[in-house]
Amino acid sequence: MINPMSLEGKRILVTGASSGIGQAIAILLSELGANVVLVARDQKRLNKTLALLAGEGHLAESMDLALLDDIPAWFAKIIESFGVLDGLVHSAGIQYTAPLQSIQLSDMALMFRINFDAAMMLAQAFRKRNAHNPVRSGIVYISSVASLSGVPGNAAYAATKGALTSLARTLALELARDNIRVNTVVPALVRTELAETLLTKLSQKQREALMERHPLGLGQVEDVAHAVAFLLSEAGRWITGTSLIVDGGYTAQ
Amino acid sequence: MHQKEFLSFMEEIFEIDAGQLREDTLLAGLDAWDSIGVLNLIALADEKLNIILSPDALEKCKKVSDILTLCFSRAEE
Repeated sequence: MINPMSLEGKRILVTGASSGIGQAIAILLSELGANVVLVARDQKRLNKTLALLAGEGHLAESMDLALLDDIPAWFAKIIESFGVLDGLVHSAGIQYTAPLQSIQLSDMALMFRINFDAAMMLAQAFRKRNAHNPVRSGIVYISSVASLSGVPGNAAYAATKGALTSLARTLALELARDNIRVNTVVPALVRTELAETLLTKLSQKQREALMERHPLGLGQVEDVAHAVAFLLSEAGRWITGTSLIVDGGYTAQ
Repeated sequence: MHQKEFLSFMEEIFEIDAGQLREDTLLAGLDAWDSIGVLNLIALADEKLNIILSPDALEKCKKVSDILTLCFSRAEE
């Protein structure tokens, strides 16, 4: 029996892998047969994710992605010890809620640094000869429906996620010659720690309104993971430069 | 931070003249006291007092003093 979603023998690096969507992605990719490099700041929490992965041959590499200058050398070292990568998933992301007049430059800069700048630096490192599989490989960025549909207090975060979509479109063209596909997955609200923090900042009324905007209810982390696996697998081999919206109907309205 | 200092920050985010905001000022009379105003206040308390105010609790506030009570009873915990 063939399984076009199989990732048997593929090597894939996942950022934000110690919790939430990133962790679910890492687990699913391992269950589909991939060897995964887990990346996040906290080694202890990464080790917990490592214990949840299926199969052997995974790696947990703590890294603060805000240290953008360190990414190239650090990435090259991973390739040296782990081997050439077939996929890269940037799921690490941070979100601060603040209306325009309260936005702090430092918070905004950090959001852009982790959500967007790191995405660019990771792609740059991934593109290098001998870093990615020259026959076929893929990059997936985790964007957000915030980039498509406004919510008060979320301007900077929305902009970082919109920037990822624009980045993916352009890189898809630039990297087609390297057989690297670049796509984004665009989720609505998924039950994660980050989402719970966001929800505590809303009133009961606002929470109910937000729930109502998800016709299929809030998502599970696995819903996003499935979309990522699809894009990285053979099933997604002719897909590049696109955004796969996984939102329970949020943007259908 | 003293309540008085926080009050002056509140005047800034609500864009009213210095010294105009008093403890017995009714929130309903402030133009900037709406859902965005609540978000601004939450951001302010987070930044200046390092506390996360609940929007549900803020919605129940009638006067400026209610907000101060909310902020400073929590900040002293």
